[in-house]
Amino acid sequence: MKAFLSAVVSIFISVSAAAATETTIYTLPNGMQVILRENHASPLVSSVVVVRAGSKFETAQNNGFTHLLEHMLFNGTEKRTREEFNEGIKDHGGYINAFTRQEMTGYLIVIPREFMEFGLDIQADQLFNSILPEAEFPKERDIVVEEIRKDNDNVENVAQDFFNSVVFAETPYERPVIGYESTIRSVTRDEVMAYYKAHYVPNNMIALIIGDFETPEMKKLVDRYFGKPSAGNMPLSPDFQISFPFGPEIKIKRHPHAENTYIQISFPAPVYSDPNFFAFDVLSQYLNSGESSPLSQALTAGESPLAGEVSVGLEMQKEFSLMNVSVKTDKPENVEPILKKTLEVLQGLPAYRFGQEDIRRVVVPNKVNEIRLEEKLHYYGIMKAPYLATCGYDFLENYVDHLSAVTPELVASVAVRYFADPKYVVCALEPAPEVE
Amino acid sequence: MIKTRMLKLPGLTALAASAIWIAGMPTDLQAQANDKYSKFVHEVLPNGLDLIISHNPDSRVFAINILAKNRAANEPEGKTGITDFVNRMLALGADSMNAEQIQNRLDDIGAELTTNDNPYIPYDDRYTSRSFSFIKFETIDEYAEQGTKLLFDIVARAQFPESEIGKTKKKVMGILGMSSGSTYQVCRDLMYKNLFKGHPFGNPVMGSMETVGSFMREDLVAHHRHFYAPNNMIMAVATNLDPEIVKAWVYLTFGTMLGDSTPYANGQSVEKPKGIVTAHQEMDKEQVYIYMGMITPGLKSPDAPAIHMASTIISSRMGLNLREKQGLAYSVGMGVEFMPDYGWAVADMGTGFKNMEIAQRGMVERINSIKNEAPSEKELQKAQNSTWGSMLLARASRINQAFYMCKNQFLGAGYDYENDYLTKVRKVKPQDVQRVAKAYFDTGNMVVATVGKRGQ
Repeated sequence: MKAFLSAVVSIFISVSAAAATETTIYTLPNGMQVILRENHASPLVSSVVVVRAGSKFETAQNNGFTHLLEHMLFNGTEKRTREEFNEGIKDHGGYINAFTRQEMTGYLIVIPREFMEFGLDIQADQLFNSILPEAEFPKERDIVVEEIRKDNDNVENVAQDFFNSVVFAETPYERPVIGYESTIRSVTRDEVMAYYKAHYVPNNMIALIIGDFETPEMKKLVDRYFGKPSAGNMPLSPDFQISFPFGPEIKIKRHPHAENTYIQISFPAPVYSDPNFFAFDVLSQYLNSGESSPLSQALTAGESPLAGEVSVGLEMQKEFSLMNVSVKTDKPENVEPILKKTLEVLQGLPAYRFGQEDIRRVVVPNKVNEIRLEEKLHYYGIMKAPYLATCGYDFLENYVDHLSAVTPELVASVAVRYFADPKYVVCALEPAPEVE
Repeated sequence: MIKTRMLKLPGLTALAASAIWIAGMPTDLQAQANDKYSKFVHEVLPNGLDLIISHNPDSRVFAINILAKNRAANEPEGKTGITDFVNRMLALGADSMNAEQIQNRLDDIGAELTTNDNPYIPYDDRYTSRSFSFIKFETIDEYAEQGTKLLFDIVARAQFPESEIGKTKKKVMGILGMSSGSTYQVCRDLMYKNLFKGHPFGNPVMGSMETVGSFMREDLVAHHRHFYAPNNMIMAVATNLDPEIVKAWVYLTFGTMLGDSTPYANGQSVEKPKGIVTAHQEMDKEQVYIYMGMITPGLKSPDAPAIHMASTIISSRMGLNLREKQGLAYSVGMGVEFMPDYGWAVADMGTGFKNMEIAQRGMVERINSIKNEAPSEKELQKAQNSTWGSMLLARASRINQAFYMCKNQFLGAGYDYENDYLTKVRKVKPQDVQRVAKAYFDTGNMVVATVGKRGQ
């Protein structure tokens, strides 16, 4: 048996006299990881529990189960009815929500500190004792179908689903997290229950609790409510190989409701554990620096710019990272010139002399963002949860320090490695031609 | 009442979030706690700028919100959406800096400047209002002085370079194009257009393709000079720094702006719809969106807290019945907004187009349910506690504290209004809720807007 608190790490980050933050990290005997972060700025406590169960653990046949299960977990437990559960949180001034991603599902409670025990009791009950009542199942399916319809009415969602279906073809990442109406309509309650039992074991979870509490008291509560369930068998990770369809061909989909053309150009990037990751991250953030980004200047400046908007983001998963350049234009005929101009800018990066100032302009906003995020307990868990599931807490804790250690030479070196002769996948969602 | 077993007060926690927390406390502790936490500096500068500084030592965030008053009412005829456009251009040229230089200066201090809600996050428009505009600025204490000066340059010395106007038009038109395909956004504008007929609130916040296309540089400069004059602005700062020092920085920057003597429009009175006013726009989408709107009394009315509670209870009933029992919607709810002299309650829902009639009927039934039977003590208490928690959460960040201080000051309630608001909410009785619902949630005289495919 693992020793209680088998791994206890306490980190004191002395930011200033105004805000000293203590973080305590440990693992419960049942394998659940716990991160406690004291923050006394507001009289609130936020607890997000990350379950390593996301749509990537699904098959084509059960696509959308994870998200449907997330919904079903708000429908009552062995000791609480649905009303007692949801209305109980409201009655204590709390906020409860959940979100499903490709790699994880997150369950969030924010509650005034005086009711933090009530909040943890509810959250543990939700995670470990939900009964997924048969009577609620048809209704919850209908709600999810309405959510799918809502997403289908949003062209940006349609574009993203199309991009994923191309870039991640033949892998679980190609499917929408929310699933399809057909898969949701055909699912049975027993299948979802089996999925729940397989994935919702404490050793497959991480609890991140931040807010106005004293750590020793919170540890007792965590032990009381999250420590009870026994460890289970860890679910198997999906077995697949990713082979991106790199090449110059532009994959196009046309959509009758699209008013604009949406373009995504995806470039391979180092995974988070690669020594080059942070230098590449600095480079991608430099490219996403709004008005001062060379990419933005090339695509959106001038009398008749090629595009209306451009942004750059790093998509990180366990198996890969991609740098996605997302562009919106009102002219479908601009897709090829936009691709050409983007490649020109990126291929020019190896010749650019990066300075310490360029790096500082990436590092300082990240440092300030961390401090700002600490105030927003509601967003804190939502923002951190996907990274916790993929990269672990050490990555998050040391993220700004690692960015700060990047030198101009390192950035120049990754620019050469990744952009001298870039590989890419390019997709576009265009307006459908009007029918006469 | 809920049982509050909390007795321990946080060392130096202060201001809005704590003020709301205090209002949730047993009354015998409230006075003691308020004495300990409330620290405000409030001053109207000689040029008319209304300045509020709150001191909060528990965070390093330095947050400023600037509110400019009576947004829609002050947009010139035919120039609807010009405030939104001006806001989008503030950081694209100011003083002698171009857009790139401004971005670099913002990045140098890690500052976040927000002048518009993000149109790409669905429903992320909670700060956008027809009654005022906002400019939010956040950095941390070590960059506070630089930040104040930079924000001053951006707000007071905006240049509206010709080279950026076309680009901004393209961007705004792109957003308008995207919005025109959203049943939710089209329906909301349709409801406002009909609920506020002949009133500036009937105009869309971002304007139209026609108005945006017509903006010339001189329009932008003139509107900026008038609308962002100091005597039309309220500025709130939330900081851990000495308020007197911050005040000195503001005097040296925003204090030098010149006031505007042109009269400002303050909006006008509104009239209740006569009968059920319906408006429909056909759109070939999977979902239909429904908005219902009613005119209510304003924040000055002693009934305002009861109206707020009534809408919260109805919202909860809609969620329980239409979503949780019938599975008709992913999102459904009701809320109320106030100006000093009038308010408006809005219920909305997105559902499959075949459900349109049943959904509309269900929404009306839930609104009327509270008129037939007063809520139970328990139901009201839940609404009161939920309001307490929502306000606490919404005001956890310094930037939101600054935002709500400005908003309450603008509404004439005073920047520290929320300290007392929850006390007023707690005093509402079930009979008050039933009475105000009967009096003001008039489903026989309301606007019903729908967008999508008509059901069979």
